[in-house]
Formats: sequence, structure tokens, C-alpha cells
Amino acid sequence: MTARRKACVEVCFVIGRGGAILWADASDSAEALPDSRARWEAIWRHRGELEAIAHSHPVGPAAFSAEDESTMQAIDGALGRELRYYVVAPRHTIARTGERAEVITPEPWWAGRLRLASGMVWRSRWFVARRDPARDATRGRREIVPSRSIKGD
Amino acid sequence: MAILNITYQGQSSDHELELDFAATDADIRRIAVEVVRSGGMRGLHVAQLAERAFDHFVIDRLRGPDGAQRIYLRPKVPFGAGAGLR
Repeated sequence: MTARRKACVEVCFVIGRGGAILWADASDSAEALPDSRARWEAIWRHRGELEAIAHSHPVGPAAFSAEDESTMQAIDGALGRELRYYVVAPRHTIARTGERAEVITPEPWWAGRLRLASGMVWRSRWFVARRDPARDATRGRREIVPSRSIKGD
Repeated sequence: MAILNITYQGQSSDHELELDFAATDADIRRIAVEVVRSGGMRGLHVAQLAERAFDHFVIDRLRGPDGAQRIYLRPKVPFGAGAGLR
């Protein structure tokens, strides 16, 4: 397992009206968010104000997996309506409602929170932490600099 | 005797059935399809419900506070990049 995978976990946000985060939970893996009765109970409890469900792919890809697809189908069937679903990957956020998927620009405000909770902010789209050993030694901190040149997702 | 709770198409309702925790997941899914097809689910009657409508649903077997066996049929909710792309 790489250091990057060790440092990241998949996180799920249940999103309500106005982008409110109604529920959040995390796995202990960078590649899977296991089934959870508590997550389903939160979705059902908030169904009246529920607008979307988002989860992270901290090591990519910016795409819905086969597991994602069958889960979205099951949730829509249980709720009786099509929800909007998001995948937040290191460089892109994608969304779909029904069959239509798209890259989201600008991203919802909570995408940054999801990256932070997933441990991938250090290689996110807009910022990356670059270590400068000399500076670290004197100032004891990490510098955050813009980086659009990172290849990822 | 157990109570089967089905959540589907925005409805959630209980049904007392002559089954118990020993019933297999496949049996419970099959029974649930029949319940919905027959109109036994309050507020929902889908006569032509697909045989595999509950294939992506999971079954939770829980005991109520009174010790009653409750079987919940609910959608699965895992996500994950590791399961392969579509």
C-alpha cells in the first residue's frame, strides 16, 4: 500500500437544501465505503430535504464505479425519485442525475470540505502543500501554494 | 412470525409474515416482490414489479425492544472507487 493510500479515506456527505451537510461518515479505506445501516437511516430520515449524496475518490478516478452505479439505482428505487450524486476526486468533481453526468465547475462549497476530510487536500486542484526543508526548519510550517499543474484523477 | 419492513418508492411499511430470521435473503427478496405486486404494501401497488427489483437491496435482521423479529429490506448504500469502473 502506498503512503498516499494510507493517508486517504473515502468519505460520504448527505447534502440537503442550500448545500447543507446533513450527515457525514468515513471509511478506513481509500477505495471503498462499506455498506452502513446508519448511512441509510440518515438518508431516509432526511429524505424530505435531501438533494444529493456525495462521496470521495481520494486516489481517483473522477468517475462512478460499478458499485456506485448499483447503489445509486437502489437508493433511487427506495426513495422513489432520482437524487443527484457526486464524486469528488483530487482534481475534479463530477455529478449525475439519472443518466446525465457532468464535470462540475465551479464546484459546490462542500467539495473542499470533502477533500479535506478525505485527506487529499494536499493534492487538490487548487492547492498543494510543498515542503521546503529550510523554511520548515526556521518557521516550522508548511507552505500552501497554488498548483494547477498536478496531474491526477 | 416476523415483521418484514419494505422501503420502496418513497414508502416504508411493515407486514407480519410467517417467516423468521432463518429465511434466506433470496426468499425475503422474492416475498417482498410478491407483497408489492399484490398491493400488500400500503400506498404502493406495482402489479408488474420486476422480479429483480430488490437485487440491490440488503436485509437487516434486528430484534425489536419487545423481542420481536424484524426484517428490514432496504437499499444497499456502499460506494467506492475500488469496485471497478462502469
